[in-house]
Amino acid sequence: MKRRDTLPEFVITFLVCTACITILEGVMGMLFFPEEKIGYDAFFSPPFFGFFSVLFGAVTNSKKELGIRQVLFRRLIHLLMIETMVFGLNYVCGITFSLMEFCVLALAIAIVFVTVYGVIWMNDLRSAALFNEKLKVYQNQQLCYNDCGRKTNS
Amino acid sequence: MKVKIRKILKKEEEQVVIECVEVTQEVKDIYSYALTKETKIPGLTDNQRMEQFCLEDVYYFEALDEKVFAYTGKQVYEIKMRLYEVEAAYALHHFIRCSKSVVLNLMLLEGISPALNGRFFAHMKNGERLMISRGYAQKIKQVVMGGSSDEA
Repeated sequence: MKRRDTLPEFVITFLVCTACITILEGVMGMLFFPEEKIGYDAFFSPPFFGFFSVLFGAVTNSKKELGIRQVLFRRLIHLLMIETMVFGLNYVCGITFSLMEFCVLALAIAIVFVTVYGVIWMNDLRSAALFNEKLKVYQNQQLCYNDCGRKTNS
Repeated sequence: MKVKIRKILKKEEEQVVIECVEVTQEVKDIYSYALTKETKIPGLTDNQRMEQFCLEDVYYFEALDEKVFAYTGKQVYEIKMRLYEVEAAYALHHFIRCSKSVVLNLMLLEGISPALNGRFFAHMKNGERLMISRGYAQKIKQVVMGGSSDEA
């Protein structure tokens, strides 16, 4: 796959991912740390996590044709990499979670992960519907020549 | 555009001549259509019988174990061509590569639907489902949708 084809896909995934992470951080903050005050540097957190989450998506790419199970297995690895990154960075920064917070955050990351893939899949669905419309036009054009040919012969 | 039919005596001298000022897309389409008609390919059936079949009846060509097979609605034929030769020779007949091992007929494609990992399924008119690889999906979109492929 050419780089120019991959780049828009990367950007779309990054933007969707960043939006979802922003919402997630907002909801998690309101639920578990309502008294916490944060600085402007916090604004860099969603794009940071978004960028690396999308970058880790490279693990799902393969030159070979992957089966459904292989794709799902690689996606699971992708999710685990993201979870490790989030909890690892929090640990390095000295932020610790209770078991409840840990479970909720892990689940929320998984939900964001599924949502991002869901949005991308919906976009592919729209793309496929548009293609199918154009395909009918393309085929009808060719059939039109077919009919014209028959009329001329008769 | 004037259309004429001139009768001749010998079958082997039958031909279509397109006279035009400029080779437009319309002219290319007519050329492509004329090429498709009556194009016959020799192929081996399961019973090792050599038969001729119409190119326009082929849903797709598939490379398996160094051999290339043509799938029509009724029969599977082994042909003596490499897949890249099929792709080059029949591009004007609406055949296009959709994965490393498959070249499909766009005229017998019912539609596509998204699969996992950014790939697409190609649903053929005979009900068969083929996988479109990511690398080839863009090219197929360009052929069918022309300049509007970026919108998708």
